[in-house]
Amino acid sequence: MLKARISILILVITGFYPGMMHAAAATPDFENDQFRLHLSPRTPNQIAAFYTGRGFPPFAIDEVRKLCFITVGLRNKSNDLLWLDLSNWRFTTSEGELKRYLRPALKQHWQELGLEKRFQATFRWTLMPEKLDFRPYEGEGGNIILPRTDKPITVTASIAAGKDKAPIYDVKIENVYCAVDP
Amino acid sequence: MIITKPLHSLLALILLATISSPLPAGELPRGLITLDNSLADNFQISDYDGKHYDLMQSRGKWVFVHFWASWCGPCRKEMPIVYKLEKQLADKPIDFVLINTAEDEDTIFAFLGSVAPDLHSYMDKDGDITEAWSPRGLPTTFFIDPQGRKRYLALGGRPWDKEEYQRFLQSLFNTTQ
Repeated sequence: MLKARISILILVITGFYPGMMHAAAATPDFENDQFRLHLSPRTPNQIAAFYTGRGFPPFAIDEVRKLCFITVGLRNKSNDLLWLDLSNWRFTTSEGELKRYLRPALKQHWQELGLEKRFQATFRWTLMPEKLDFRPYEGEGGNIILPRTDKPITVTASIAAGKDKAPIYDVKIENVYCAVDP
Repeated sequence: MIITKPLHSLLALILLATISSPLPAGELPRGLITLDNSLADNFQISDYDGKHYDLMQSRGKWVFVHFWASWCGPCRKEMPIVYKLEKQLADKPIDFVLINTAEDEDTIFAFLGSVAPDLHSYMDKDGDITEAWSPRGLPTTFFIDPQGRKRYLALGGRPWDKEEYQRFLQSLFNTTQ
């Protein structure tokens, strides 16, 4: 069956040069009748403050500071299902694809570093779900973690709407930056 | 009146459905979804005073199993409403089982002290129970029926004091289980 695909391109216009991106960096939004998608790149200080406030030990704070956190918010605005599958999302720069850190690799890393299980659990709960069938009007949020880069990132997010997973919306957001501390 | 066997069976099914479903899916308040009636995984858990709880001990009553964490914004907003709800339903056959996900005693104590001092929560210290139950996010509430089956799930924080939610809650107790 041929499924309708709808492509949407969003260019994030910012008044900053990449090297000047701060906590106030552009937070791209996309909204249509089916859903609202919001991306918020987080600075190392923001991430460190969040996990320090949760009691994470200093060695874990040092680790999260090295990474590029983008908080994703997705809300189903319709009375039908909406399908999230992060394996259909791509992150690219002029140098090629940025590989997102996946849960098994993060878990292994924390285990190797000896992070307490309770902190590992909290960390998992702050990640965006890998797959989710959003019920009518349901909203979820969480972090996506990328290797840190100062290059502009293009995010391509495929989101399916409806019981039959059609149409599929391909939302392309350009000029997303890893946020840096002021 | 003669009722043919198929019609008789149909009526029996309708009656069974009426008895076992407090509200039809279409009448559920926003954010509540019907689950598959599968038996809930049992768990044992303790609170910060060392008091133990076993899900099995709530058989014969509904159970409001609520997963939360102090760092989750919607949890902060919902907790005072949960507190009022627990007081409101104190004489009803329902147990409130709040499960904090992977935070320490001081954090839980300080948080509840500021939003709902008399509310009582258990501690899922390593997050294992939360992992096994796989709530869709925090907060999430499961409604377990008196037979120990997963019946409903509430997505995120819900305004339990609003009329449509009150009607849903009352419907739990109006049915023969």
